[in-house]
Amino acid sequence: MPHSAAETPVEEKAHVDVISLRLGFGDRRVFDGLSCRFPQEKISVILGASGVGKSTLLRLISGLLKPDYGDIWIGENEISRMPDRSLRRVRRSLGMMFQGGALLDSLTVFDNVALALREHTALGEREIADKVHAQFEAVGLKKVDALLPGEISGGMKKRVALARAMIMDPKILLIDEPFSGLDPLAVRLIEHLLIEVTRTKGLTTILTNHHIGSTMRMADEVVFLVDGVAVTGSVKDLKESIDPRIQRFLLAAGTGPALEEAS
Amino acid sequence: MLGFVRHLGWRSVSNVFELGGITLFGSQLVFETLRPPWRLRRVVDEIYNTGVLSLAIVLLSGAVVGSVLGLQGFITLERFGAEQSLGGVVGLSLVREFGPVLTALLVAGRAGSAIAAEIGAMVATEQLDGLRMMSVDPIDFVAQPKALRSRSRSRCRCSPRSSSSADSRAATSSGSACSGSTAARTSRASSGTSISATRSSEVF
Repeated sequence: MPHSAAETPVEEKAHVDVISLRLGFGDRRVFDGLSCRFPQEKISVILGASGVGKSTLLRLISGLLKPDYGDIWIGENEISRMPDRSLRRVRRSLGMMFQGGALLDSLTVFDNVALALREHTALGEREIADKVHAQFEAVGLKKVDALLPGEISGGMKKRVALARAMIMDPKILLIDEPFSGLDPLAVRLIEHLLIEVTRTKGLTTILTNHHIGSTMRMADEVVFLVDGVAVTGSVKDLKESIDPRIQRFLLAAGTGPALEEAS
Repeated sequence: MLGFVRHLGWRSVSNVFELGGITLFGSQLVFETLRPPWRLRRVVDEIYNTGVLSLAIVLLSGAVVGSVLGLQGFITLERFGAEQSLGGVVGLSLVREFGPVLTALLVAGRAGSAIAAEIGAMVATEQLDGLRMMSVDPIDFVAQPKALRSRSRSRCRCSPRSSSSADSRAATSSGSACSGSTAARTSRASSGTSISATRSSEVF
């Protein structure tokens, strides 16, 4: 059930609500009654082992996948049974950064970021250029306009993808594995960028992550996926959890109470 | 026996499902092709990629077929003392018959594989999902320019003005610019592209 404004205080009102979600691919059941909420203007990190369905959950929230059963609420819109045309309208309030960037190979970096503005706004080329360059500056990119995605590094691709995800001023930012394949300096840079844009623009940021260190540093809320369900809480809750499945995960990652006890 | 019936039922249902997907994709593509915006810049790029870049292989194939036809034709015509007709025979047969079919087969084959490879790479690298997340319809943005390009190519092949060689002049002077049979063959041959396109219905 959606949380009505009367039931939920404004500051705690969830921007994204996932309720009793079930999804399977053939005989394999990925989610079996998964429920979780991603609070407004907070950074929520989806954590879990490989293959547990982190990216799948993000794709469900973005409407790229349809669940077998259950509801997904984006603000006041239930999107799991929404027709494509209506979904396109809802997606304008979403920005998504894919793991590999998903930049269009045939377009330059500038055109990739400008595409959504050209498609959905009546802005002139000069205004579009100003907005794109402002976004490039925000993510720390310079002189990349004429380059093709194949001509830039993995870290730069992630930053271009972030600029593209934010160009339409979304309310919700969905990010799939932003730190994979990056060196520690690049991880810190992207981390800093994400925290800054979330705080300054009041975004609801949802990201999947393997990187425990960055999760501890930036997460307001952690959604831990295990056995097709979600365990949610703050970073402190996660560290102090007595759930053996979470302890094992943290121990393997080299953090948490289990490790402290062991040491 | 029960397994066979189950398999047959499953195959039938999946075939009907696939046919429905192809029909849906085809109708959506036609709708998007007729509806503005037509993305002329992307259509021109597509025409360049498919038409201009295929020119070399089409010319080479035409030259080889023309040479063989000339050589074999000369041997036969010489017996009847009609060597002077060789130019007309080669010109007419090459431009009116072989030319369109060869061009259609070569371009459709080249374009079909290029489209399949391009769209496959776009799916694998989540580019189509990226478009969806920007509320841009992949059929409108990716497939429509390719469909418009294919239509313009078919028209070019049927147009007498598309051939500028002496052979073309010989062909046009001899009668109709584009015979019904040639158009039918061109259409059949070029269907390779549309089949490739419709098979991509699953990814869209």
